[in-house]
Amino acid sequence: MKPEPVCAEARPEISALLDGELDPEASERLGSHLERCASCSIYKARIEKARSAVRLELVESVPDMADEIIESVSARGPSERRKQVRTENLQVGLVAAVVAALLIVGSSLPGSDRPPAVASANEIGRDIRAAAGAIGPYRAGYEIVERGWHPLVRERNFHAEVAYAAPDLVRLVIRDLTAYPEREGWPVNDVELVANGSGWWLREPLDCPPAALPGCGRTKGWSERAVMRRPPFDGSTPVPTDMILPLESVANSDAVVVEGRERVRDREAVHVSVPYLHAQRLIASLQFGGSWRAFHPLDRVDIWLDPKTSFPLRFTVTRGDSPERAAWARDSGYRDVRSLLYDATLTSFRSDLEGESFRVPPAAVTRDGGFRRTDAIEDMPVPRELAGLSFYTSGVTKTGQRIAAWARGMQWLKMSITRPASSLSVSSESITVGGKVMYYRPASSTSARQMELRWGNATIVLESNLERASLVRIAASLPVQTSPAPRTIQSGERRIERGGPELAVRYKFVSSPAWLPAGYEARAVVASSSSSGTTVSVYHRRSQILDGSTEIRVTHSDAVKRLWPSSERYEAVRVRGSWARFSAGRTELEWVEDGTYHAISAPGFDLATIVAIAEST
Amino acid sequence: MDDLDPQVIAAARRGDVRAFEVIVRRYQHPIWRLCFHLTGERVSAEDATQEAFLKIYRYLPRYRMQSRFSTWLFAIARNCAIDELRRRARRDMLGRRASREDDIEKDPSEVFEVRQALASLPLELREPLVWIDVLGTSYAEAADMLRIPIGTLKSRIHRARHVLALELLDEEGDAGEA
Repeated sequence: MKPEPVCAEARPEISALLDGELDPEASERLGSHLERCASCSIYKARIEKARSAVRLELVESVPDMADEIIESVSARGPSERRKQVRTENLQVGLVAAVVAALLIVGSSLPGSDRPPAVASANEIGRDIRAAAGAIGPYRAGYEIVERGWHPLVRERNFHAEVAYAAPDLVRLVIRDLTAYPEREGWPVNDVELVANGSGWWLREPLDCPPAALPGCGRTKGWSERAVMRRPPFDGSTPVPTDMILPLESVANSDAVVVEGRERVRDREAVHVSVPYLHAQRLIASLQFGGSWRAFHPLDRVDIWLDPKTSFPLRFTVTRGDSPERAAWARDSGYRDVRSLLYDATLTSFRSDLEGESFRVPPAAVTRDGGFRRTDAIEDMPVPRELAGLSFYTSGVTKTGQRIAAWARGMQWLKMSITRPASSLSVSSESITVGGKVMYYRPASSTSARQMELRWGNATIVLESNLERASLVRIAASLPVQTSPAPRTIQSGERRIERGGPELAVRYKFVSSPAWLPAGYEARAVVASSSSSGTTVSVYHRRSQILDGSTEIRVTHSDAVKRLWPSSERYEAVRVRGSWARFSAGRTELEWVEDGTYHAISAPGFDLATIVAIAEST
Repeated sequence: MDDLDPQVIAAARRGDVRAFEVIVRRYQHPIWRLCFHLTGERVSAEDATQEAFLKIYRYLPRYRMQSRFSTWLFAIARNCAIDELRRRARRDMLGRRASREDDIEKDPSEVFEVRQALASLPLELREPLVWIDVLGTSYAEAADMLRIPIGTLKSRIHRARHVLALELLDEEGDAGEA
């Protein structure tokens, strides 16, 4: 028998022992070490607790999907089994010919006929918001060039067709026109999306990991998914709209720089630039499904807007120059030799939708969104102020949630009422207007800006793509008495408390930064306590914060005494003499100083700025 | 994981929808749980589960009954969940940040902490735990599924539980090396 293991050898075996996966001889050796070593015994107890937590506590309510699946299989019949995976390119020649024949129709861009005077970023934002309320139906074509997607493909070319009638009535078709180095093996990146109010449908190629290319495209097929009875403006099945008017990327961004007046394909244009972090929605609106390259938050986006209508005539992504950006590109496998990475230019425009269909076709994977149109609005409190929006629809969901929605042009508002009251998002910011307590939440990946209110035993959530000030006015005009939400949530042993900057002051180990980029201040604080200590997260936002991705989160913890082990790639930097690690992927700096853990997450800022914030704490 | 009666599998291979329904009812819950813990979202888990069963139905005639049925079935489901995870990462660009944090914040139940801790593990460490602790497979089955040597699986499980212990019990105990 081998000698008894030392601690470093014994500990990795403990999990296998607990799982009954250690052979008898090794079990015996480990058992006799544990009998003698108190430290390893304590360690074993901790691992056992972690194991039990996952095994015993993670019991989710699992949906019964059998009927849906069987229905779907039966509907497709035995022919489904004979069907070959479709990989043919879709009429490349035809589409290319159409692109060549298209011309911009000069005078028919959408929106109101406002004078062309555009001077400052604020005025541009105001113009876009005004256009969003007045925009009518149209169909537009874009020519897209993308560089750097794969080392063997110099550039890819696409044609995109967008048909827009309303924010929930959109059709987007992208055709891949790329001349790939070999005829086969590359996935054809054709993408199609249809949203028609109650239905949503997406067809895209199944993804190939870069390492499996070329070749993977031969075997991968297509994915088709649909949602029927979709709730209005459902965040889990979003519809891209920023290429229609860059509401989020320009109008709601406070980082826009006006570059001047230029011409795009013989049209007068206002040229603005913005960091990619702020313009993600615009770029993503034409990268909706399929496989595309990624960009870094510090890459630069240039947008040329039609001065009369604010319609984007062209938008490009250019490589950022910072060392963090270079590290990110290296880690992500991008060479990015040329600086222009992406270029989308409007090639055609028509303001009629004749012959356009928004029909949602059947899909292999169909989900029931569970929304039923009813006159639910009659039993709901309606805001007195609606920012000029008109009633759109109302109804109830499977879970009994009541929903009403209003819209005008591209702008929309949704109100949902849930009983009993749901728990509040912990990082939301508390606002009191006219005696009403409300909780504001910037936009996230699955929702637009939200305002939550407690009303008796119900929660009212107002969600909208309107700017924050309008949302505050609408919420304040609701004819209801609100009450403050509980400040604390008890979750097992852990107590989570939510509050404003005053909450952070209570903890001695929290040292607020003395310096922050212009306009940022502490807006929401979350403290999570257990017997071992407290972790405090302070969310710094600008006063008119519209999107959660631009916030700076500073975390302090006396419960964490060392940096957690991680397989991520880090850069080592000094913060006041202590070593800190920086993740370029997550834009987060972490360090431990005097037994307290600190972290700063600041997407869109370079390392020098983040270190400056850290040094000022 | 136990396999079904081979006669049921054979009938489903021949296109018997009732036999296929037995397969769906037997495996839909573990497959949904696998998809849920890999994707971190209920909606994504439903989409991936549905897609997985459609593929299983389509590819059943190709199943030669040489490997365990459950291994074959879960390999398909895993691919669907990973595809869904990639697709969602792209969709998240539309709405900026990943939504996992938002889902968790709204969850007031007792599993809050455990789910949060598990979800915050990198996929490389999270997936072995899902197979072993959530789905209850053996090390050999899980290693086979993940196509990694059993020693690698063992060490990932150890590292995953070590990190979980730090997060869940986060006292300054003697956590030792990872």
